[in-house]
Amino acid sequence: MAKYISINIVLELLCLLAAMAYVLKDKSLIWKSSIVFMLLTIVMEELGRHFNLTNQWKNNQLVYNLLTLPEAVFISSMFYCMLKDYIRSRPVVITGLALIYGLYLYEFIQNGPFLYMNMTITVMSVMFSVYSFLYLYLFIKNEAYVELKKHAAFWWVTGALMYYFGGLATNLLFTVMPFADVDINARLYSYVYVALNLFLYGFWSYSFKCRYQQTR
Amino acid sequence: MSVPANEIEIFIILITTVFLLAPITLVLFVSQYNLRKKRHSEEKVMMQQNYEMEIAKARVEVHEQTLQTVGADLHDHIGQLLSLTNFTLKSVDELNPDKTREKIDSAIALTSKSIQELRLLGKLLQGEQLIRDGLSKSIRYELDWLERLGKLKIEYHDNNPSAKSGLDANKELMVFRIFQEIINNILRHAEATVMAVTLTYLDDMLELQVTDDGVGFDVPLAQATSPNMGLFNMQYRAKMINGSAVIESGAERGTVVKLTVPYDIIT
Repeated sequence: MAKYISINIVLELLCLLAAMAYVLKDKSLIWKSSIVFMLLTIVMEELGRHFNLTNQWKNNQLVYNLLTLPEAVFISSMFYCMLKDYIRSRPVVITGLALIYGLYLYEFIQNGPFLYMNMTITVMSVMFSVYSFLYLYLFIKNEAYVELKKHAAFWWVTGALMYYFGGLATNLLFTVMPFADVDINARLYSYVYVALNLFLYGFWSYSFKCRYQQTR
Repeated sequence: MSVPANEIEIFIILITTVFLLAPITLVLFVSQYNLRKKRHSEEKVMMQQNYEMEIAKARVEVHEQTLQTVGADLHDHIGQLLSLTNFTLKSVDELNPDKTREKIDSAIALTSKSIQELRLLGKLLQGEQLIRDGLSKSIRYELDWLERLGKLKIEYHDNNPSAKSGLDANKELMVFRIFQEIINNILRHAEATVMAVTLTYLDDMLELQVTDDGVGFDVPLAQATSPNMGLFNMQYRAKMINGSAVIESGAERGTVVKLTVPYDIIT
């Protein structure tokens, strides 16, 4: 049983608890859907871990490929929510989502569902990094002062930026320079992802708290 | 040549740290910039408060100067005329009809003169009120009163007397107060005999120029030795309404004060 508990899962669970405590009664359906997304992530993570422990690599890849679909929708919806205060974000987000789904379909047809969809994940990370930069740019451009300490959107975007930009860099590093020792490769990769998850879920949990205080 | 495992680990950790530092730096930059926005908005509020305070001060000063002028005028002119009328009427001798007629005529003339003086004084008071309707009229009334004192020969040019200046009421009040300060300086220090006032409505700004033929003064020296005198005040107030007050003068060269104020941008 203990094998099924990892640092990443603990972090995800804590973030889920924060989401349930702070955004369960939120007026915005998009913010509220964080709970569903976190729940889904934990279930998929556990499934992935199970397949990993039982050496079912193909199924493990399938699980993460499947998680990409709701992840793209949820993150895009959140960015729509964050960016709409500054620009007409709907066309931007819908175009991005169409591109991700198009690539997903392409890789699905090319390689089937059991091979990790590297291109889709990379493009998705680029897109979410760009959304984050766009948000920060618009935030700076806007003349109004905002108390950052209590600004939910800012912390949510910061979490997403750290995760997707860091993840993108890590993926590129490991793709361009695969190290000879497979064990070292896997271990380092997991360490980096623990760090990225720590940033992501830490900032997201804090943003849920800010959101709760903002809308109370 | 194989690289030791611990070196690879260090290498990966360093690269990952660098990649993580980039977004962290960006977030810190945004946070710092946000603090600047806060300071900027606080400064804006403070500037607005200063501006409002200065407007209120200018309004009180205009009011005080008008009342002082009215007081002095009542005492020096109208009071004298009425005393003279009183004295003339008291000296009427009913037994001497020829002289009586002459004295009554004289009293009538004095009363008419008093009424005329009161009307001018009334217009001066009205001028203070008229700032709301137009700067030209207020300046006109102020100059009319000054001309009547007989101390100065005044030339007034206004390229469009019926025009609205394009400035809001507060800015017009400030211009009027600066104008009053210029006049005060001329009366107190310049020993001038001729004064020319030109009010010009340009396409994008208002220009007010006051020239006198007085003794003049060394502008940098005056600014350095008495920074709190009227000159500083004039320039400070002009700056507050996004304008400028340029003073040109020199010993025995007279003085030129040129005030320019851009119109309010209507968006």
